Amino acid sequence: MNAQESVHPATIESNHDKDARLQRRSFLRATAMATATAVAAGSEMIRLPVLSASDLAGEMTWNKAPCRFCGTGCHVQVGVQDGKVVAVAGDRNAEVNKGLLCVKGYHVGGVLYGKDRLTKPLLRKGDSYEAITWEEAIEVIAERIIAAPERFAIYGSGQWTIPEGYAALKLMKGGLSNNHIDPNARLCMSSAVTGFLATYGVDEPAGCYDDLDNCDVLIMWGNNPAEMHPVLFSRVVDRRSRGEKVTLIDIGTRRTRTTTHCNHYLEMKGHGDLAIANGIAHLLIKNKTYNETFVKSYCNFKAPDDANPNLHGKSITFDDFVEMVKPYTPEFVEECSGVPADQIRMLGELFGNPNLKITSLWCMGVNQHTCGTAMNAMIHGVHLLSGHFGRPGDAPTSLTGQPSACGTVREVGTLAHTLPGGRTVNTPEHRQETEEIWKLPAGRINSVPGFHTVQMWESFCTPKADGGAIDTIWVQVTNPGQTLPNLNKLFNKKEGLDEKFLIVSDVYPTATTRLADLILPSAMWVEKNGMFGNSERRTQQWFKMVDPPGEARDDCWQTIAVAHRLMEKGLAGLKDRDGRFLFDIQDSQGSSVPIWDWNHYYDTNVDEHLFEEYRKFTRLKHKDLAPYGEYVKARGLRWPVVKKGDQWVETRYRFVSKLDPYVPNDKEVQFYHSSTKDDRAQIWFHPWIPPAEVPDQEYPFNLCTGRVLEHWHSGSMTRRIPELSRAMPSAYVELNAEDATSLGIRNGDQVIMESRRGKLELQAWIEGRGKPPKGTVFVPFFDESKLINNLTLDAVDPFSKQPDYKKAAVRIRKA
Amino acid sequence: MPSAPNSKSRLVTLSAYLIIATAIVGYFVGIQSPMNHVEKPQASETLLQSASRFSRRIETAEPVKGSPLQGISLSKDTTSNVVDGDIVNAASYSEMASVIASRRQPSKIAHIVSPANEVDPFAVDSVIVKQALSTSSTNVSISLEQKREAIEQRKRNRAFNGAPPTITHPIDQMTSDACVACHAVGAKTANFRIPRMSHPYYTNCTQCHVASEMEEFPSKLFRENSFVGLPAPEGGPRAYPSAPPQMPHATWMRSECLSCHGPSSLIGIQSTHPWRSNCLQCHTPSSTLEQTRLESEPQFVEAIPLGQ
Repeated sequence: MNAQESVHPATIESNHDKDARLQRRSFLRATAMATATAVAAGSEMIRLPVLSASDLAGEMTWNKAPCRFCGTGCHVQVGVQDGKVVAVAGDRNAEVNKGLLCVKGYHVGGVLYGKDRLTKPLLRKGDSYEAITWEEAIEVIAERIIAAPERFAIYGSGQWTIPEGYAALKLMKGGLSNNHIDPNARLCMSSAVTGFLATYGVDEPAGCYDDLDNCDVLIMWGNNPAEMHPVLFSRVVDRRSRGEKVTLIDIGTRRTRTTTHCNHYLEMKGHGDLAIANGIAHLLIKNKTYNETFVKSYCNFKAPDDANPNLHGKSITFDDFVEMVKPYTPEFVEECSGVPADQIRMLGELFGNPNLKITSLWCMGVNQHTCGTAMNAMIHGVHLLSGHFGRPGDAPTSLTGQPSACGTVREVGTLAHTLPGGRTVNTPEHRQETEEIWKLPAGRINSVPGFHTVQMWESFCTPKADGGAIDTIWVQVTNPGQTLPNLNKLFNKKEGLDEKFLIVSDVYPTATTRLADLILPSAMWVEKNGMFGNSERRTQQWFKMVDPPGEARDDCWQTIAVAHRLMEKGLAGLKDRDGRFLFDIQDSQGSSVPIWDWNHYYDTNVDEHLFEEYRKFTRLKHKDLAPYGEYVKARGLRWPVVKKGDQWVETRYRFVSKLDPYVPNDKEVQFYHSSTKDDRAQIWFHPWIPPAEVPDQEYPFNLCTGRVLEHWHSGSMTRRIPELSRAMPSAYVELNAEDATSLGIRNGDQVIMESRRGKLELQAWIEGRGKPPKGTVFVPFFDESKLINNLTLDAVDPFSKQPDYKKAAVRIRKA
Repeated sequence: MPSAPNSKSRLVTLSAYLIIATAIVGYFVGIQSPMNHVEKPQASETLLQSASRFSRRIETAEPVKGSPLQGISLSKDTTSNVVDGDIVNAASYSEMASVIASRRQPSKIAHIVSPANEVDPFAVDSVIVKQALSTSSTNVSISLEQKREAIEQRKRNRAFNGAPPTITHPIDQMTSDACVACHAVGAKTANFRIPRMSHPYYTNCTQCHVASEMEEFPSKLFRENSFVGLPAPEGGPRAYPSAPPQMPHATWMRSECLSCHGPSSLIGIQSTHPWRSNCLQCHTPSSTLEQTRLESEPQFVEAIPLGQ
């Protein structure tokens, strides 16, 4: 054979290199073993297996990390060569994705290398910026805070790693006695939280992704997983290729890629979902197909208490509930929702069939809803009423959009009213427990919840003289200048308010940095250590693999450095009751590691120390986390992770015996965090009400906003990846073909869209990625040059304070 | 029944003549700028017009330089229709027969240096196969240059070695049905190639494969990116010079070897021994790339102590 003999250095070790390789290997092995031993021994002297370029010259290494993007939580294998990420592969040993990724995941390596990465701290000087040192930047922030600690706020993210969110929360609530910390997840899944709390008394799904492998029927409520959670969607639809039968039902407001895979498409009007859920309950009761045993044993009934609206509502009897859902006949539901009565009957029959296993999926369609709490609770309600709960495949499963909305926001509790581990600031015992773990003097933690997102930004955009209570906001890992609703009111008004100061830690210039006074360059993804928590309660860990560019540094370091500067400047709160720094980390000799100094930040594993401290909080709500070292070994573990013998074991299903370690074997189902303290879940009735803004003569179209496969969130990362950006270069407006014809708009025409709040010019796309029904339009929000949130409404859900991005009245005309 | 007015029937006759005349002229002249016309879309284009652009770019079978058409005599007119490898212009109908005949010729993997060019190397009784079976050595060879050409061509729509290729033609935005229609089997003619799926069938094709350029919103400015992807390997490691090389890539998502190494693939990465079809018999995968969880170093039981 005379075929080519050439050998690629990345994957192959040539023979004459063998000795060197063996030496290197044994060295690496020794290092790995030393690290493992150190982890096991809890030593302070752990040197991370950070790969420095010199170790690796030419050699390719692969390491695990969760994907940077959505809440699915796929694991990727990251290929690193010469200190750079050069390739990404699906992790075949990860249960979530089993080796598969979506196009964003395959190209996630490119997010590190956009040419406009921020690499230096920048301070605004008039209309331009001046590069300053980190030293100066930290000083600027510290001075702003010291001037008025109570007028300072942090706006964080569901993309914060767990330790980053925990550090920010501790700085604010423990150090500054200030509860003005809220994350972008308020805009994304806070109604899911209130839905879980109202129903089970504790947050997060009882089921997991395994339900997708077992269900006979999958109902997607206002959800387009074919584009938004493609790996999970493939997990279901690929079952069909293997000859399995699974019925897919799309309840949606427009035809999408998901619809084309579905057996049934139920096209509804905005808020039609409220009527549909009540219609299912009506039919279950009328046909006597609800699960009487399950309901009698494990459920109570609730309705909203209009006089005193809260998540407990008022208790009602089963008979009251029957009366309340009585009007929701299939015909009445058709009237409210636009879905034909026969299709409502079909849903009623499916839920009434105890032999089927039914899984519900939902995400932003249900959460970004002025009745989001109600709708979340009602999906749980139809599952509980019909008994489609607790068996693998029978589950109401809420999906998240951000990689650590669950891990960092919901579990760590980086919201204005929460403390770690499901605690709240207005519960005295919770404050005491937190002060105990943080070793704070009693009474340090403020009992009044801080501002939620919309309040925080409204207050920031209001001059002090007019009552604006926030002067300085520090934004980390998110892009509110693009993602807040009604931007003209909640963000753009900052311009010209010289007394206000906006600090933004980010990796690229964004719609938010355009109004920033101080810009801090951050490290991202595998440029730092991290931990995420995905939609199915899975906590994931990764190590730093490459160095960040220029002077970019970890967000967690930034927080700790500011905290330390505040302490140096004499702010008492930054010391615990023993006089130690709040973020004090000691080495094995008992001396403090100066982690506030960047040169020493990686002398120890700060993530591990913060996580081990945070872990103490997680028992209260039975969300037990394993020691850090367990996550190093695993591709994520689903909490509660409990120790059985010498093994740490994860939990796939909660509240059911034998599967949940906290349910005794003699009970089949136990909702052990029941808000009624009787081990029962609550089935809620909520009435159908119309959306906050409905189309009228002046603004005759309903605007729905959302996402596309190629871009994630505000596009600040994905729009810098050529493969993704070329596939979807800009935002557009999706129009119904008949509407377009009557308006004289043709494919590719420029269209002017106006709402009562703003105006935008977009290109029309008819019969494109999705097909909205007559009278509705759809615009994706990823494009920073076409800020659709100038038009959206800032009306919020009364319980979760989450805005509705899916229903705003607009008018359109050809440009 | 009264007959139709005279003028109407004359009109019918006239248009019939017109149609026939157009057909005859068209037969000889052909339609010169048909399906592959590239142009900037007009802003005021209708739905139908934008749909008509749906046949623009087709992945070329080979880089032009190594085209199998080289050295094969075609009528002058026909070769001029093969413009630059990117665009296949239609031939006039009168030339169709000769074009088809000429295209059939090169589709017989003309690049393989076989003893007689005319022989179909896949025929069981072909000289090549006989030779291959009788002796284990063959004279089928691929030059390094061809290999690099193939790698270069693959790079055009892949971010790194192992990335899912982007789609070089417009797509149906809503369903994957159309993908499967062509890519389930794959095909190759002289001028374009439809790669067969290299992996088992997954239902949601656009989950991983997106258009390399969007037909509906072309020519936008992008932020630059300096990501340098892992290059494709030029070969796998061998134990000794003529040993079968180990696979330099994972079989995950690339389990259909012939999709990329079969006779309808790019020349430079084709198998030099297409008559052998059990690839994994000789070429082993790498446990690192396959992500199999094995000890990084083989473990052995203690050696048996031997007496003096």
